[in-house]
Amino acid sequence: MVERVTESIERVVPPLMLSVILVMGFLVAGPARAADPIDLVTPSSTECLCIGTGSLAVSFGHGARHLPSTLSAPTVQSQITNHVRTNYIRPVGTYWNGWVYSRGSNGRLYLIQYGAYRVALTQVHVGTYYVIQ
Amino acid sequence: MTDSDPLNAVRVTFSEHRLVDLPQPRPLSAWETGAITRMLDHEPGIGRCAYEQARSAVTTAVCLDCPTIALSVDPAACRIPSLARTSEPRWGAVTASLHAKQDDVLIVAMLHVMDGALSELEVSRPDGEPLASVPPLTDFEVVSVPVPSRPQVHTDREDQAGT
Repeated sequence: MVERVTESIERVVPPLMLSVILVMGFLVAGPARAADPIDLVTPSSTECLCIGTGSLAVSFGHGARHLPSTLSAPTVQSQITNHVRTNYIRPVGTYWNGWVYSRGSNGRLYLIQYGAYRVALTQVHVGTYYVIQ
Repeated sequence: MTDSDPLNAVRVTFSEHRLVDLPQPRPLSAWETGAITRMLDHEPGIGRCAYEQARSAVTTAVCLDCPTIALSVDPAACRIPSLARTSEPRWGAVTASLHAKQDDVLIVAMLHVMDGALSELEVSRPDGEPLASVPPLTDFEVVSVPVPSRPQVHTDREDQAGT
């Protein structure tokens, strides 16, 4: 069956032309990729908790110690992660600042600034974050 | 790597730059004093209190794999008015930071404030890797990141909506 289809295609499209089409298709679409790659091999001394789904993982450094006790670090990190995921389209090796609001247990709305760095295609590292308002 | 919890958390290897208390506070190094002063020089309206604090500051804790230090200032020193305690502890950071490249690796220094007092000189690689040494201060440029009047932020409501 496959041979018949191939023969049929080759009757309509000469083999050389077929090769050109296949090469162009590869260049446009890129090679086949594994689903949801998370390649986080980064050598270092200690571990940190990183939040990752899909093709982008967000790792955190030491920002939690800059938070008042009325803010929850996991909540803030989750908010930053969501913000990074919608604002991370920057080249690898780029550093930028972003902001999120987070409501404390005292009802107050805090403005938090973070510093993010595109480590790799699949990795953004948020080295620090801190309340500024 | 696992993704067993609701946040799909995975473990990767990164330095967390944990601070360790010193048995005895130590004076700031020339580099640390210079970095702090340079950031204060570029902070609009920071006032004299910040400089007074910088003169009395000592290091109480150090990072084991980066040059970050915790600061303690003279309790009698005046507080930085714009970041002084109001009805609750105020946290913040000086908007001027220092950026330099060492062997093509970005290094960022920042100055944190708590309750109107200088609290931490944070020096790190934004990629999270350990940092053993810092370039001379002359290699650093001052980068100010003022808070935009309407920052593009992620609010609680957006979080609930999953956007």
